[in-house]
Amino acid sequence: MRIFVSIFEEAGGFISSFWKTLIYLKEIGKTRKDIVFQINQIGVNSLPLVIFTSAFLGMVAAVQTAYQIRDYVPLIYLGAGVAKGVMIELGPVITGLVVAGRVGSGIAAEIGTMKVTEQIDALEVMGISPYRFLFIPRVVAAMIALPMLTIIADIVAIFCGMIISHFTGIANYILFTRGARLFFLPKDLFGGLIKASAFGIILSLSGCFYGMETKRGAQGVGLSTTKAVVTASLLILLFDYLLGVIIFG
Amino acid sequence: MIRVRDLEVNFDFPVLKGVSLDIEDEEFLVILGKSGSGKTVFIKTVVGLIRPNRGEVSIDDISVTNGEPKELLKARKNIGFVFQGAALFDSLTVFENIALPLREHFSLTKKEIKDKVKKSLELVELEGVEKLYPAQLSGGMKKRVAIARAIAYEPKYIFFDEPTTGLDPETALKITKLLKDLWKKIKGTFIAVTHDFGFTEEVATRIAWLKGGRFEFVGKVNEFKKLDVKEIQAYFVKTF
Repeated sequence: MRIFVSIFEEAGGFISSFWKTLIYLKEIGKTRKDIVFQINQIGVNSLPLVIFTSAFLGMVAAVQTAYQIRDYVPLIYLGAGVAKGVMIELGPVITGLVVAGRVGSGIAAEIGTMKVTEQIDALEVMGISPYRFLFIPRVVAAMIALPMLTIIADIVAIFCGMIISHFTGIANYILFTRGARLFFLPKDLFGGLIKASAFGIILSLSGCFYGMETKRGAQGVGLSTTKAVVTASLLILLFDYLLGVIIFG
Repeated sequence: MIRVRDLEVNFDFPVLKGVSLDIEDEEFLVILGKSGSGKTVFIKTVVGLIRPNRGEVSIDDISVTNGEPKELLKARKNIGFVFQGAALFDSLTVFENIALPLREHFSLTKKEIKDKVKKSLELVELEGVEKLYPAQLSGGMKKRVAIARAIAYEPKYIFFDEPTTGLDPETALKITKLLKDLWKKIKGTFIAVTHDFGFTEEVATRIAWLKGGRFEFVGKVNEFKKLDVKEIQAYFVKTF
């Protein structure tokens, strides 16, 4: 019973944080510099990890799709399958999960440390809302950075899928790209980017929320970091399904 | 004037048991008490960082405990707070730390902000550190920067949480003298909490002795010294 109460309390706190962040959106102008700084932190600094992950993701997707369809379906559909799978599902989800691990934990640790060293109290006593000063730049930056990272992840994954198909003799690059272009729908790309934006909000808000909830020193910071990543990962999968149904259902 | 009435704060146990106190303008009040007596909880409740279970706090007739957020913001523009660990923002330079409240609440030009930061640093006798980050400063320097940040926007009330704790005796003495001089120069209302009687004796115009969640004594330093209570004698053993 206590665990359910705790889950509902955390869900309530999470929603309340989201609501307060929305309220302070009207003061977004004051945080322009911080948003640019956070886009760099969240987006640019995550690039190597996202490129590495998506390269292997594309190669695995190409090889395994080919293995599953080669006896039943013409290989022109390989490019279509990989491109659609990457744009709709794999690109945004894997980018979301990877960035949640790197950035969500970083945000929770940073804000958690600020909490236990009274920096959050210092903000409040100066009449500066932590939601405006800390949440808005991170949430807005992640909302912008995630779709950008996803576009790069999509390009890298599809390109690597094509290269591996070509050099392993599964399907040459002309056949692969013809398939990918033949069945391309703009909705696939934009639907994936909408998902990525939502995942950006989720992972940054999770980091901010658990950072603010930090108690009891260094141990508390560690706990908040773990909670932020676990919650963000679970919510990304949940919202992947919900948004998938809404956009592509 | 700050008015505190029947303030009660409970965590898992009672911390403040219905305390009342009036803090007069331009006085240097020291709240004295041993560790865990609720001194920090008291000042954090007065500035609205902790919500009390019962009671009322008002700053210049603005209710901190029951007022609207806009009213609270108005009251906070008159409050400076120096935290025990300085609480400087790690990601900002010394200049940006001090300039932050000025940028947030006042329509000042870049030059005016620069001048105010410079003046604040001069007052705490710390110059040429504007470009440094908090991690590059010593404990004493961090306290000075925190004091500079608290006085930069010229608040009427400045709170100090254990201003000499964690410092070596020489630096603690410097901070004590600095606060005494600063109080005379800027003519604000200073409220400090400490268990350091050496500091208290040096700066206080009035003492409030907090014991077991209640103020056991409120009055002048010499009156406090005359009290025939065993626990008080412990404060007279100077730490430096």
